[in-house]
Amino acid sequence: MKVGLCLGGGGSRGYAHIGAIRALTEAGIKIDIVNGTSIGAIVGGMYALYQDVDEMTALVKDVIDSVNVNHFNLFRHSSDGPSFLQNWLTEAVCDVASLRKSLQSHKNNLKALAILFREYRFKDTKIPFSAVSTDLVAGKTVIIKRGKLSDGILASACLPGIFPPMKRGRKLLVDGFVLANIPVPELRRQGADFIISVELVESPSADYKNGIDLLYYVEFLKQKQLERWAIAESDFHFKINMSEYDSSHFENYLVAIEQGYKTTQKIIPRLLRKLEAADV
Amino acid sequence: MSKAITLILGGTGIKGIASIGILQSLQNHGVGIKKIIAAGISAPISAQFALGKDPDLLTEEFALFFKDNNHSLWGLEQFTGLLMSRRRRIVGSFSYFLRERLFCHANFLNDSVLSWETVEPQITRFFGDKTFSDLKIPLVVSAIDLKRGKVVLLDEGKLSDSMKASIAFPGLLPPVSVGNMELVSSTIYCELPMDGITKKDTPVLTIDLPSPFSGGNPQSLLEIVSIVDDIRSRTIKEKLLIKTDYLFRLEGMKKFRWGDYHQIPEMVTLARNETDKLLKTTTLP
Repeated sequence: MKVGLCLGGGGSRGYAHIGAIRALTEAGIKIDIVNGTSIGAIVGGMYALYQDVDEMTALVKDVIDSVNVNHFNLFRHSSDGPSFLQNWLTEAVCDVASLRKSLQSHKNNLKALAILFREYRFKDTKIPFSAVSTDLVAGKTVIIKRGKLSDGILASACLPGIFPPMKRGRKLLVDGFVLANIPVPELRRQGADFIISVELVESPSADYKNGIDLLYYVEFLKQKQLERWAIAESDFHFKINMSEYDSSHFENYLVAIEQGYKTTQKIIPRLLRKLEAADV
Repeated sequence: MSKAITLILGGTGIKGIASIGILQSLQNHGVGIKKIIAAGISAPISAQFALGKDPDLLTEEFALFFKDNNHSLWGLEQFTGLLMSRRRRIVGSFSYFLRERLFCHANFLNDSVLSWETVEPQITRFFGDKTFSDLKIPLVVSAIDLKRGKVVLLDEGKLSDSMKASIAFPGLLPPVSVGNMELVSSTIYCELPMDGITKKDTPVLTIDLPSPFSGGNPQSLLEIVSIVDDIRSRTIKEKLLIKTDYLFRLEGMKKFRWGDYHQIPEMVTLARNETDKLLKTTTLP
């Protein structure tokens, strides 16, 4: 029986996944296969490749130290999810919004991913790993499991509107969060029998200042609905409450890791019982 | 035809007006309707139908309303002088239109592209002080309550309030306050009000008015964000369609777009003909 770990997206909150993995491995839970979306793909990819939480944490520190992390601070002006894109887009003047394909380039993303994954490929990982992305041409989710890890993971983490879509054959790939922020059905297709899914919880605000806020709030509701359907297919789901976490600073990664670790420790007994019942 | 059906009507933007043709066709074929669940413009249409309004007259009134108000309602005319490709994007995708208008016309401080000023008099003309209890066919209207962040179903009280809520497309018209709710249209979440279906509603007939997929080769940030919006809505719709017993997908309606206000009579006629055809090949209970 294969145990799968499914890591959801959620920007810098996603460092909590590292803490979650530490708690799971300390409890002796063996993960056979992993997938993820966005930051979930970054952490999942690192785990599949290195299988060592300390090394993962050290690599994250390397990224924070050597790449201009403020560049990633998409959430700088806002503390909640649905409006971060709105803030950026509101700042963008008319011609930028209507003529350019994105607000930022991939330059710093590539630099960060090069530190984390070097030249490694999907086939080099110690346990099977896949990243989940969205194809704008077909309007469908895409599972990436071949090629360079940094390329596949970048396609899973490039937020539409903020970063340019990635061309891959006939596909035009953007962040997997569009349809599969917690890609449970995708992991099932990869052969996982018992799926543990991890959700990073934020608290959205329904307060709106203008029509753009409203559009993003409805988008958020749609994303949540899609997530609920995906979560329903997992065998064990748990949430890491990150609503108090200041996601505006990627430098806060240690706080996020700690939060993930503590939350996961609490659910371990319940998870062990469930695994035992499932005869794993 | 022995068993009456529950009818699900929706549609993005003006395309929902085609519901007139659908209702006409079902009526002509003697299909019993025990309840209508509607979202978007199909809600006021269904309410008018349930009040006994003549469908042809209703089509005329809608066509006239948009003809009289097209400039102030959509402002699309001003784009005719611009590049056709840009205009096509605006007219083709509702989501793109809203974003283009909100971002690019210094509307950052506004709740919406339009105010209720133009639309409200027409709603008052249609419904006055009438309530849901005046309807000959029970009607349930779906909307999103912003305060609770979920779809709500409206089936009592003043019709005009619920009708406003059903057409308050977020970004296009301001949200509507009813009681302690703050309501917007649910069509932007899912074109069809599938959340309104309960076990008692069986058999359920859903009418889908499909639109061509806007994906492909986006040229700008706004287009990319609009495609994302479209992809999600389509996926949610397809997933929720499992709740229906019968589905009529009017493929011909793909040629009309959300803002084709100058083709209202054509839309209604095509929807009627397509429903006629499907009724001939489908055995309803």
